[in-house]
Amino acid sequence: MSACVRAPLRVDRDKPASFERVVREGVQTSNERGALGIVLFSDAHAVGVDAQTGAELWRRPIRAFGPPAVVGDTVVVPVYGHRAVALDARTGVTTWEHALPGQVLTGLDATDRGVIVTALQPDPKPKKRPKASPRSVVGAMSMNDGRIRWTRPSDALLGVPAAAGRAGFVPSGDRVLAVSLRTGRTLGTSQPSSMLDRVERHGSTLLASDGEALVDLAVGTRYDYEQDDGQLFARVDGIEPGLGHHAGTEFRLLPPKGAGAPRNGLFLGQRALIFVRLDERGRAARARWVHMRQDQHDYIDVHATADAVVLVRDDGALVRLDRATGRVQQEVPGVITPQGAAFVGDATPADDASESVDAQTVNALLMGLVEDPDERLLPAQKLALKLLWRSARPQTRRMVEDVAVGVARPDDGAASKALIERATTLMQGPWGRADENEAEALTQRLKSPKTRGDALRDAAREAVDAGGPSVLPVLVSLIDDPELSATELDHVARALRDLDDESTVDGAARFVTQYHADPEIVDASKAIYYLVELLLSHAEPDLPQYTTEAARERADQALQAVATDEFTVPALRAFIESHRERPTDETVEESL
Amino acid sequence: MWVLVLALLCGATDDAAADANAPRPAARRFDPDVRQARLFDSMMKRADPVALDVVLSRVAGGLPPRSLEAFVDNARTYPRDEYAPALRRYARYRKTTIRARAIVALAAIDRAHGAEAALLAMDDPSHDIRLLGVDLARTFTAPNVEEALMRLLARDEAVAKVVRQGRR
Repeated sequence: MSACVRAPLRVDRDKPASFERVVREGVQTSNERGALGIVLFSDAHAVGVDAQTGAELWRRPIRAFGPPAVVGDTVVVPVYGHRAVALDARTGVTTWEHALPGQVLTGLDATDRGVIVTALQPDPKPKKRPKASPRSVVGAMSMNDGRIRWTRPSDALLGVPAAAGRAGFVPSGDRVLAVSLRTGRTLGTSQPSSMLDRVERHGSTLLASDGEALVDLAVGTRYDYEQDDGQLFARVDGIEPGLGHHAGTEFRLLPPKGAGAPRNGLFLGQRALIFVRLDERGRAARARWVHMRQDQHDYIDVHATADAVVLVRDDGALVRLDRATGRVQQEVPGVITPQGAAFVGDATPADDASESVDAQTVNALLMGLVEDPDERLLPAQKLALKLLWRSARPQTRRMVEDVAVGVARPDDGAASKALIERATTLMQGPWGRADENEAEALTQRLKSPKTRGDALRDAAREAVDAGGPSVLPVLVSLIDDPELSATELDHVARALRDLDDESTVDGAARFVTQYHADPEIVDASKAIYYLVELLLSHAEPDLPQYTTEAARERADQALQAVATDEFTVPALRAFIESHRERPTDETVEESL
Repeated sequence: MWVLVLALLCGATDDAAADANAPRPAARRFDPDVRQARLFDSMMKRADPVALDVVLSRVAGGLPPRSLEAFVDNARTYPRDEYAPALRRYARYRKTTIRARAIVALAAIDRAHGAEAALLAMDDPSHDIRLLGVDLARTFTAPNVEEALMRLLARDEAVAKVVRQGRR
């Protein structure tokens, strides 16, 4: 203990120099490759089970009260009595047991170099500082015998730490401190965000969470993992919530096979599991597959192996899914009712490039998830809505509109209201993979007179795939631009038809009314037919909620005028008549 | 330069429109477009409230080619304020000859509309109509028109070249 640091943890006195190096060293450690082992924790026992058969291998009377940490085959479990127990996951044998530093555990994590622990600690001089905030303590324990190597007090509230390599990473206010697991010496500091409450390791990625976004500590880049959708990490305010999972939701980044940031993740939300593809900025872009239980059992934890995803059900059953398709491969009954689980062994990165489930099926499953009235699914449903809205296909995005107009969730429950609100918010912003900046850049590109020919074709297509509300008036103004060639006009009109937005109906009606009688213009391209299709969609919407009354009237009026005008180009008239609702027999008889 | 303008007004550029200044031939078979064009000839000449109402409601509903030509040509011959909104719309029509004739018809209404027509013409994608805009700008002078003319000459080398040659 003589070489160890005991000085209070104060970020303003620490040097930020080598933080990035420490992170890089830490996350380079190899992934676990042994056979998968599972330890289930109930309110009274820890039970080792066979990952294949679910059979009980050993059972110990251990009352865990926080998420365990895994190092090789060893599971470090915080247990009641403010102690930690290290168990061999294969045999259940206790390697060591020792008291934890502090008095109320905030969080712990471990590597083979040691265990990092943060905890609350009462103020030793409460009478002198009655209004002082609770003090925290950070400490490290030996992985060999659990002995506390060092502790350092902190006036600031410390969050849930992570361990990687030789360092522990401790969130404190707006900074993360890297401290040596051996000596407690501060190795570096980083200020990635504000009010950090957790650092977590996901494979080779070390992430700091501030409740709003996640920051990749290895490269200092702020990634938008959008945890608001899934409450990836609950705020802890000094105390770790729950055992093994956070409010029933869990997000796991899947380490990539090669170098680079993770591009896949698993989102567990009660009884739904979504394999999420992430874009280059870490945003949830689309689903690879969706798995959902139709019974009322929840999943409490998830683990990805090289070829499977293993889920622990709330009745202890183990469910094994094919990693490529999400299909159930195996389901074995449980031996206890678990509250949490720990997985040791197989965590080999896999090549998740293949798309084995077609997008239409995935979207239908996402929509099925959204339509499920189970309120506990709300976080997963919000994520599903976002994934549907990020689709490049307007037909898929229409599903979000179904939610916004109350078709998909007709009840007036709190979850339905929350989903309707979320869908409405999504519809007011950019669609597809675009964000606000990209949508604005596309708008400027469409406005530019230099964007013509193939560039305009590409920009118009992009507006459909990944645009925003600001592109709509620009597209409408483009159809009025006489400079556009017939081909260019075609692309713009087609984009307007595909986007099918009520705000563009007036412009389309104006164009169709102006040119319907001019054969040279009508026959030069398909543009007017695309715009007629847009008008038809609003004059006779599948559901009244899909358009506004003003747009419906305008579209109907224009189509009626064009269909009855004696000068309308015959082919166009025939097109309109063939697409309009045919009169019923009674109407025909009345007209006769 | 007026040769170009006349060519535009006669539809001899890129559009295959018929010569609007030629007398409309009697239709050998019934053509409602020709009939409506003749109707426009007489009604726009008459220009009483009933006639104006008929013409403007037909224009609002969209016109076939002959009727459209009849409208813009008669609007130039018998200019009226009431035609201005439709002429502005036709000044952005997809056919160059229609745009040129609509601009000239707009300019025929009065000086204010002439200045507006000059601005529209100078902003047109067609080189010939921009040249027409230069002529209109010289006829209907106003500070904003002169500014637009200077901008056009600065950015459009082809138009500037024609203007320089015209001066020589």
